[in-house]
Amino acid sequence: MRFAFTDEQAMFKDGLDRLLEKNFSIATRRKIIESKEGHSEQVWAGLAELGALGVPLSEESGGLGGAGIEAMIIMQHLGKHLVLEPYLSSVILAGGLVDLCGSEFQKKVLVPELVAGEGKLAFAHAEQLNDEGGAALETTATQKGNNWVLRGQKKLVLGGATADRFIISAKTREDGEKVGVTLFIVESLDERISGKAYPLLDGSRVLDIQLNDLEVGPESVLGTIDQAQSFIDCVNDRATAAVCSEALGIMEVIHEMTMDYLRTRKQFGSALSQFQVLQHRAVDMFINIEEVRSLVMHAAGQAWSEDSRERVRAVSAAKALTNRAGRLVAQEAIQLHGGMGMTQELPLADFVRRLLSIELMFGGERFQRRRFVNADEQAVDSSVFVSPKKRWKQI
Amino acid sequence: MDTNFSEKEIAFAEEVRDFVAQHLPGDVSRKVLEHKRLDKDDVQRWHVPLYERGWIAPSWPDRFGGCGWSSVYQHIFDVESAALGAPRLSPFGLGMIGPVLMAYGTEAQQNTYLPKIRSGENWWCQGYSEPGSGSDLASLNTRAERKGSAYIVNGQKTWTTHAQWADMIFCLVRTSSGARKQEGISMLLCDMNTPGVEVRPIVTLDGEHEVNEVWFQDVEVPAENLVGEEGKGWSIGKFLLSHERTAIAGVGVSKRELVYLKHLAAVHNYHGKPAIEDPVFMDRVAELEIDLLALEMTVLRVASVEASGAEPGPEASILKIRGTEIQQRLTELQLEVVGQSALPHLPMAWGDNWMGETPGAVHSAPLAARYLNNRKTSIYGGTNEIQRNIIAQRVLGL
Repeated sequence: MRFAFTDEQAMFKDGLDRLLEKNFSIATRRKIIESKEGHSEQVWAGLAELGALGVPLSEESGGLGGAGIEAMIIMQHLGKHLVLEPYLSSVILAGGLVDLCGSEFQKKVLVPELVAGEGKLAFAHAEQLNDEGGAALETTATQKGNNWVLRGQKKLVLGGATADRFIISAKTREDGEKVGVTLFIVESLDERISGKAYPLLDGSRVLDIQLNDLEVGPESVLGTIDQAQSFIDCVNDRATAAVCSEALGIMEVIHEMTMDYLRTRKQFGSALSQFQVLQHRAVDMFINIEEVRSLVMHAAGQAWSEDSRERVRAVSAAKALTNRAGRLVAQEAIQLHGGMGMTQELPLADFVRRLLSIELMFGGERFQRRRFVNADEQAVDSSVFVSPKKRWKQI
Repeated sequence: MDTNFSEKEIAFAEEVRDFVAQHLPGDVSRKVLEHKRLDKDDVQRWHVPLYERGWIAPSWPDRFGGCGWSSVYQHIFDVESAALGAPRLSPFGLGMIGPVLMAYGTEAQQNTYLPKIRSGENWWCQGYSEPGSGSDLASLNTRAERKGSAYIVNGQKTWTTHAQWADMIFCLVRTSSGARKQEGISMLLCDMNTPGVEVRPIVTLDGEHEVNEVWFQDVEVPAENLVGEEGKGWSIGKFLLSHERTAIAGVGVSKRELVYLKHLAAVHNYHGKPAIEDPVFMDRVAELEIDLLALEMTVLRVASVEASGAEPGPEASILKIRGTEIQQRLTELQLEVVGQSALPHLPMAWGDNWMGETPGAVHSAPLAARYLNNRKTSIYGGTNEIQRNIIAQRVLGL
């Protein structure tokens, strides 16, 4: 166990910081949100040039062979600079699926394009938004000769508005409780797919898509028929760990903004930073952020693992804590900024909205805590304690 | 960065488990696991085998007879030994004055005291707080006047844990009155058997005798028992407290108590079903478990900075705050699970020689007292409010 970054990781981190410092500010971000495209090819190209788009993909697939820790570094910086580009959806989620279950041929076609910044992917998976953790997949793919016919609808496709290709999850077998899920990869420009783009709370744009008996060939299948669920769980966990890292970067900025405000704003003849009641609230923000940092590192170390018990526990712990801490940090930042904290004018607003968006995606606090408990299938080993029941004595 | 344990670290954990299983006396571990009262001899019977194995001072460097373990090894040792019911060793020698003497002591002091701390021959206690000086420790006014080759000490210390068991006390005393109250404080080492030292017990709200008042009346302390320079005791005292904070997190014990909490929840019912099947209750347990996991990773993170040669920074205050909050939450949830079966209160049943019947559930009885006892954790070692002041000023620059 080591906590220091390797030289390579530290250099990459500095490069990323320089790139984003130079090319990305809140003013730029706001312009990009207002623009017709809603994203910036320039920033994406910069990330490609730095190699960031291939970092968390395996070398066999044409990536740079990084894993959770490298993804953490990238996402934390994207959070710190509040970058809008679809790194999470294109690289971590969809890129991760290609990496984990694509054929040699599919990897050869898709990964170099993705890494070079020339082709974006999106993972179309979510359907019902009103049953966290319980919603079953309803999109189906039925066999027709050698081909497959996809029918259903997908919602909240992250990065969907700018993607060149979609990876679509569909039910290919249903046998009582057992469901076989298969992934299909299709061109986003396919005119048989109807999509509706709309903005989210944080200014990014997503897509809902309708699949009306979309017939695709066998080459569209990504991975093995019926066997996709464990890979979906895998990339969802990676993405969940990734948004926690992003949230960490955001919280660090929010905290720094708040400290600056406390040091400069004067009331009753002295800086707000002189009031102990405010100092202690600032400290509680800090403690929460440090706890998130610890669990983000822990999750980063497990998120790429195939051991699903350790992975789920680490990721769900990180997300549950990130949600709780994120809410505290945002609320305290607004409160300590007073009236100014309520304005859209301050960059604080952009950070708070993205942080809240992260809280709402990939599972809430209670959902994650239940997942954390349920992953612990092995009964607790408390054999060291003599069972109290056996030792009860009554007068 | 690699947040996974290496194969060597995993093998070490097994070595620790084997050692504890073989050498920790069964009656001692049983008392620890059942939250019964421990006496000095119980702790000593775990101290000695560790000393003989060379594992008594995990954080001390080799040249002082320590293990020179990495922070990760120290953590593994803490967690594995606590899990099997090892008692907490007395921290005042090994964790407090030992590191101080290694950093500030003379060679003679190091040679005299460090071996006896390791062997367990000398037990220490801490003379910091005074009736008028708690959080505002620098206002202390136990006086030490230099007369020839000795200091004459007069005053009173309080909240002195296990003074009744101690052979030696390290004290912050005032040797002069400077312009600032932090100036003129010195650190002295004093034999508890010196004429004029008197220990008076304080009974805490759980009914136990753990802390004491220590009175000094014309106590003669040899001048060679001054640690560091005269008048520079304040920075030495702070050095000691920052060491105390990393140990005070108590992750090993909290992990064990979390397992105990789940164990209790499996054998106590709500509405006819084990509490462990109640989703509302388990949500709270999960929240606590996640906070404990965060604390554990933070300890490892802070300790790794320390191991790289840097002094424990004020960030260590986080460990004190969260570590003690978690300890307290654990005692609260344990008490909540057992409910009314913790009402019977028969403290003599928690000692060694109790042969009689115990009303209520044996395991539940000490939990109420333990809950009350643990309220101390957010007060001692610098209150959690003082820790927040430290972070505000020295980390956040407010």
